[in-house]
Amino acid sequence: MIELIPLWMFIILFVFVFLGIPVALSLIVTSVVFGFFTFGDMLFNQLYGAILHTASNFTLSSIPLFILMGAILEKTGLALRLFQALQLWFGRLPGGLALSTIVMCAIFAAASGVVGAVEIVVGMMALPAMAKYKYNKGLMAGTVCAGGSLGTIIPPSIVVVVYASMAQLSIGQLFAASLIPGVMMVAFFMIYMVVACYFKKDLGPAVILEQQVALSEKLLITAKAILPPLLLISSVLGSLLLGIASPTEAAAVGAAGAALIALVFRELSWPSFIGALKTTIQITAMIMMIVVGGTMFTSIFAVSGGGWMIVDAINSLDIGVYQLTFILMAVIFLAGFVLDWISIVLIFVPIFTPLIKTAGIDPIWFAVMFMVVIQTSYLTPPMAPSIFYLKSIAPSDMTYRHMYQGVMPFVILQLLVLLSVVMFPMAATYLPSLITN
Amino acid sequence: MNALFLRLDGVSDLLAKISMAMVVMLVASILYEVVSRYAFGAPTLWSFDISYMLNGALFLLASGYSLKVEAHVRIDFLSSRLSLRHQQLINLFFYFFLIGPSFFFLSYVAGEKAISAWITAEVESVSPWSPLVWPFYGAIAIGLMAFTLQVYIDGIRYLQGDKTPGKSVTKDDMNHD
Repeated sequence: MIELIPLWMFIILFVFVFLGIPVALSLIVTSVVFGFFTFGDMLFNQLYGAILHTASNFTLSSIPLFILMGAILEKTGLALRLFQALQLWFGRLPGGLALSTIVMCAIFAAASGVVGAVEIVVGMMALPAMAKYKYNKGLMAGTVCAGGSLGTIIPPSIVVVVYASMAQLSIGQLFAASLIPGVMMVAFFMIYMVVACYFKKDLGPAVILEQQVALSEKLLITAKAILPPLLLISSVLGSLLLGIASPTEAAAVGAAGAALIALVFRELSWPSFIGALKTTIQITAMIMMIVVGGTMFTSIFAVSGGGWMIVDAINSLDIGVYQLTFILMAVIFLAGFVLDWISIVLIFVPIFTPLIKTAGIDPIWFAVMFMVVIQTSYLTPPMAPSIFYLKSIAPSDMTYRHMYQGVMPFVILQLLVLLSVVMFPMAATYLPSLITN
Repeated sequence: MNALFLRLDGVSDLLAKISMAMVVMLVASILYEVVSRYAFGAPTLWSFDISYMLNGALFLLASGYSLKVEAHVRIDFLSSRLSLRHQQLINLFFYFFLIGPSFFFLSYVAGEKAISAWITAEVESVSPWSPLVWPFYGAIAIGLMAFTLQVYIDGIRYLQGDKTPGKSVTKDDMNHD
């Protein structure tokens, strides 16, 4: 019985989670219940250690700053104007609004790094616009869900910050590693949309503008709406990748820069600033509480012998590197149906890290695959968090059927990216290798 | 008595305001460090400690407020099929008998640590700046205590049946994650 504690921890955790108890609190309560077996009345001193450890983590202090940067872009009119400017450029292409949506998500994903938030913010702008031009409902749903999922892989992503601090990798290297796969994914999405809408005109009809916009005006709007956020994000990323600034510093400069841009455009009102701060503390508390819960859970899991249990199980299988990678990815993929990405990273990274070390797998290559898999899992029906978020903002005539069908092409495209990373590890490891030299 | 008790969630609101101010302070302190390091070649002694302490304090101080406005992620695709009353009773049970006591004891330990750090004037041991740690430990303790309080306030709301899991009772509602 006692040696099965690690297994029971997972079972009980999932029971609590499915009963609808907040994930962070489910993790903490499970740790309390099972921690008694090992620590007895020293339990709470032990668990307080997990809280103090999380609260004292310097790396994690970039999280509120990245969130603040995204929140300011969202709460001020910068995001909406960006979307309108993108439509000017892409609108007349087949599937043009879908293209604008993906580009918007890519830029925004870079800014905020919080997955569901991107989907909801961009979705609320993009869905009515696409509905107006009678876009296919499946394409609408797929575009918003797939775009929303980009937050995981497009740097600077908070997933990367948490992953790096758990696996003790360099954040800069991990950002660099996810850059090429992230760009590949956006490119695959866009090529698919143009090709599909070109051959099936009613899928995403081109927008007929009532009046022609002059090129000079187009450029002016672009300079005002697209360039500032793009410059902001590339300077944040650039200073990070070039090693000029630590993630925390880059994020603080990014947040201040976003506020400055909004101020210059006279869009930073007091209520919108307070709103951005409110969003920031809520999301930070949400993420950090899961980090606390995850830290408690994995520490109790480890002292109960969970690590040995898994190592023994894997060793008894006697398998190669690729099979091991495949099994671990399958576990993450299944976990992604029900758990949010933070919990997945917090629970599985500490368990997997020794395994991949022993097997001699490149931790950065593994991390990139890990993130692509979380992202794909986020999108894959029937239990796809992306679809649950979409449902909360979707027009009433969009059914689950539309959504399930709509996301499938994008799931396949993401699996293609995953396959490319598996077959050509250079896609993930090339840029980080430049940083070390 | 209940109505009076429920108004105690003003504590969470107040701490949320302090937490929001800390976000601004966090940005300001790092900008100060960046400017003084790159423009004047004089890095500060305190920036590193201040940054992590502010982050650690601000998320715990905001945790009660986040619970109140339901910002913590719930996976509710199964539980939302239960009747509202059943959902409320499940949450009531967890809040009163599992989550509440857990955080009560965590707050107790946190309070002990903070008080002993204050009495012994304990300083941060690994930092060259060596700041006193009791303000940081104190903020953690206050955050945990306020969270415990909010757990019981929300628990009473579930008991009375005027709270739906996942929905904020105030207008500050937002979509999380």
